[in-house]
Amino acid sequence: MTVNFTNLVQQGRARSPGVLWTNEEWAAVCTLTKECNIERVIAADFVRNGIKTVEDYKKAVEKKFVPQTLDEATEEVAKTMEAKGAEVVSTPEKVSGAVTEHKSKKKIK
Amino acid sequence: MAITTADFNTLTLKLNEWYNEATADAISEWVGKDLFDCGETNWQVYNYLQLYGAAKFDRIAEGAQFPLASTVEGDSANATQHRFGGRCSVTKDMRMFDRYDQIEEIVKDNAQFAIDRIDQSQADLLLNGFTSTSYTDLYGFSQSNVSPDAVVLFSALHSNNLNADVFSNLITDSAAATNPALSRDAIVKTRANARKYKDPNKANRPTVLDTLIVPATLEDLAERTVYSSGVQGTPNVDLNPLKGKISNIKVWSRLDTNSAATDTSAYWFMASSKNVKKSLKSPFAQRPMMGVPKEVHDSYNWEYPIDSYYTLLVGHPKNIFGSTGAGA
Repeated sequence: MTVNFTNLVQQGRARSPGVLWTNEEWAAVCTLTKECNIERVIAADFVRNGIKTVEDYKKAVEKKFVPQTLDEATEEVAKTMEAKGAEVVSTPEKVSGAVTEHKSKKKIK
Repeated sequence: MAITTADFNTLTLKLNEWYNEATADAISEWVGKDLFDCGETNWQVYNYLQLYGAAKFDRIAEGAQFPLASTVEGDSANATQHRFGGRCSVTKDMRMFDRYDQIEEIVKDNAQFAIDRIDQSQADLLLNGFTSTSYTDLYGFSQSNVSPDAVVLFSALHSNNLNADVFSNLITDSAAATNPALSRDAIVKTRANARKYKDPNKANRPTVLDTLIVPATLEDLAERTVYSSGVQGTPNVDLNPLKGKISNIKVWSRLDTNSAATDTSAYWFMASSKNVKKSLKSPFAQRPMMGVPKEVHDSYNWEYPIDSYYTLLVGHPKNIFGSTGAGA
């Protein structure tokens, strides 16, 4: 059975496309929505950022923490991946673990 | 006299007869078909829409237009048909020595087994409906156990796409403890909770829980709780109101142990007999049937395949409530 991830993610009812909330995470989203009187999509962003209790939410708000959204996180991951590739290409040294050529010591008779 | 290829058609007819007899017996004991919507479909991908109260019925001012019910409200899900099957062989030895009793047993056992497996797979969906978001089914594949709202089948936090309201379909006792053991108190409290269900538009849409579904282990307790003329387990002579309200006790022995061999004999469920099939779906693209036989040339076995196409899907979960019986 496949659920409609596009709608569910937009509404904060799934973690990300193809990934459902665990029961504990979903309970945290519902608790933050109700107890902190915030929208479910905002509560979902806090839970995605690891803030899963009312106490942690209050501390985060005090410190003016703005949770990273799923779109921002996706963009950041894409940039990080691109940067890694670019770094490898521009570095003259060999990357550790790369396949090296070995000449055979055996003489062919 | 040995059965020869000339008897192929006669034997096939006989085997079909045995198959039909065995299947009819098995179907009569198939509890899952009473709870799951096992209707036939020709969709390879079965699409389901779970509505939460899209209807409109308001007072209309003179000349005004009727309000339009939403067609975008609700959650959708889909399930793909899978093929299941097996084959049984009538060996050359069986035919050579006219071992009809063995041939009959093989065919009947295969037919019975197909229905047994389907019934157990349906029971497993309920038994695995309390934790996680999927489980390994008895065929060894991953099976989703969430409803279209992306929440596990039995949960205190079922959601909707309209607002942040949640509802529970966990069995609860009068102390508000979830997953209680089977008791009169829990039945009464859960029946009241189900009747008070409100859709996201705040309209009361009562679910009347009139069916108790228990494993064989709880049969006696369930019957005494519901059918006793007085309140079960008490010395008083108070009448037992549940007697007329729970109209059906379904004893489902496949609930005693799940297919992963875990003891689940304390699990129990309550359902609305009228609407439970809206919550539990098991569409069949093909019901189990025995196919045309083939002769296998390297063994001279005559092989008879049995196959079926079906899938499992959780619909709107408000018509079935569950408890692990473990407390909390």
